[in-house]
Amino acid sequence: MPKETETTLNKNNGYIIEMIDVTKSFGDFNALRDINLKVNKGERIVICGPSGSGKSTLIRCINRLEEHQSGEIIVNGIRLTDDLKNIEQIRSEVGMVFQQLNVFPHMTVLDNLTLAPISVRGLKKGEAEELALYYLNRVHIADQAKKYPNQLSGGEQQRTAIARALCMKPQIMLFDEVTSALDPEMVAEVLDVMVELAHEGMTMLCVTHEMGFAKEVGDRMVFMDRGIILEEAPPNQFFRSPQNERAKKFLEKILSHY
Amino acid sequence: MTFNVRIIIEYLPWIKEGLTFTILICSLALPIGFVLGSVVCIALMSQNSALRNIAVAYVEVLRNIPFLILIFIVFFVLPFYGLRIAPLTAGIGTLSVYASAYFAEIIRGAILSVPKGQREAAQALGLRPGIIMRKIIIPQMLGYLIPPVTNIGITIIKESSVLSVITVTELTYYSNYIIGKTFSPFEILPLVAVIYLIITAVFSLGMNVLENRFIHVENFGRLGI
Repeated sequence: MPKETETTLNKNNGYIIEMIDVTKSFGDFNALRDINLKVNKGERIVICGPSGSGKSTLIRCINRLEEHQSGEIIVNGIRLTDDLKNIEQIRSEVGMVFQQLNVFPHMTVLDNLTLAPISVRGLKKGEAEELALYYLNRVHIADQAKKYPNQLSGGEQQRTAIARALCMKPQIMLFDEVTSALDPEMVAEVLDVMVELAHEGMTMLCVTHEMGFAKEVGDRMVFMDRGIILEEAPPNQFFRSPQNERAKKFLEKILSHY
Repeated sequence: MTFNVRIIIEYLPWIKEGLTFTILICSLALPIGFVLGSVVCIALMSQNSALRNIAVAYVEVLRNIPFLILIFIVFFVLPFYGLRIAPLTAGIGTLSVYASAYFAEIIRGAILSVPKGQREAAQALGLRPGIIMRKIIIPQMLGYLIPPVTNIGITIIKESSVLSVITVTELTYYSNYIIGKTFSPFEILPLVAVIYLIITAVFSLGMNVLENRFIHVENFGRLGI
């Protein structure tokens, strides 16, 4: 079957991300085992589970920061393989925000945002800066445009990272424990930005421990443990009556804090 | 003992010639060594294990033999295998190769010192490897690169004095020559020591200026969370 028809078929399935029987190992350690996940456009998936369950590995496989050993990953109709063209295309449609912030410390906030639009999308400097300022406004830090990251608070740096990802106008945003390394008083400002993003219809996959956020914005909770997806359910159902034993135990531990 | 300044004045032209050669040798050996070191570094970090092993062997051998022995081998042993090289060329070449072993490891360390997340964030944005290297990795590497490079640079400048034993007419060679002729170590040696000090000081100062120009330290601080 010609490749074009194959991807058109996938597009017609309607899923913006499809993971089929995906496994990923680091040497002897199985990080992901038989992962099957289908994400619809506009859906907000919250991935939770104990440490080492493979949550980060799962989303990192989607933009090829990790390479899966077997199974299929299809993002926006494009099959994720060793083909560099595919990888680059997928990466330009998928934005990622990290726990460690990873803003470029040697560049101003504005330059952090304009680098990719200029190098990858070929925008001119003026256009890129206009785009950057638009997103800086969206995350409420437009006044910090000319500052360097180390002059900003953690929350502001993370919002810079979000705006930077948004400048590439991705179809999907991946959030990997983006508030876990922040001081508590800065968590809210970042979550607020993510809530706004969700309300605008962005497809989001969030690895997070922020259950309040999950309840407010999540369409589907995905619970993982030891590399396997054990339960998938809408937040209300998941929090009120988890089916899986390990999920129950996990929630008991987490929700005792609330 | 009185300090006989006349000896210094009389032999100043020879000191100058020696100094010229020392500066020439170091001005060539350091950049050549650095470029060669970069190439070796690429091999050190290569996916190809054969290439990597060759590079590791190169670095280990060159770092673990005294430079004096190395230069003796090049000058006295290689001719038996048909490789006879003029002293100056042999000197600059061997010093470059010797420096490259150190530089390769320094550059590798500097690349590894840039947090992995920087490359990942750049990749996630869809940036191509060339741009990532040029705009993200190398600028951040400089901060980790310049201090050790300054260190090795000073070592190499001092090590150039060893070339005197294979008749390269640099500063130490003339120092020994003049002392041999005039029996005036008391005058010549402190002078030569001071000259070496000035050379390395100028070099360090230059590296400092470079550091300040390319690294806005006040803007560069590691991200505080």
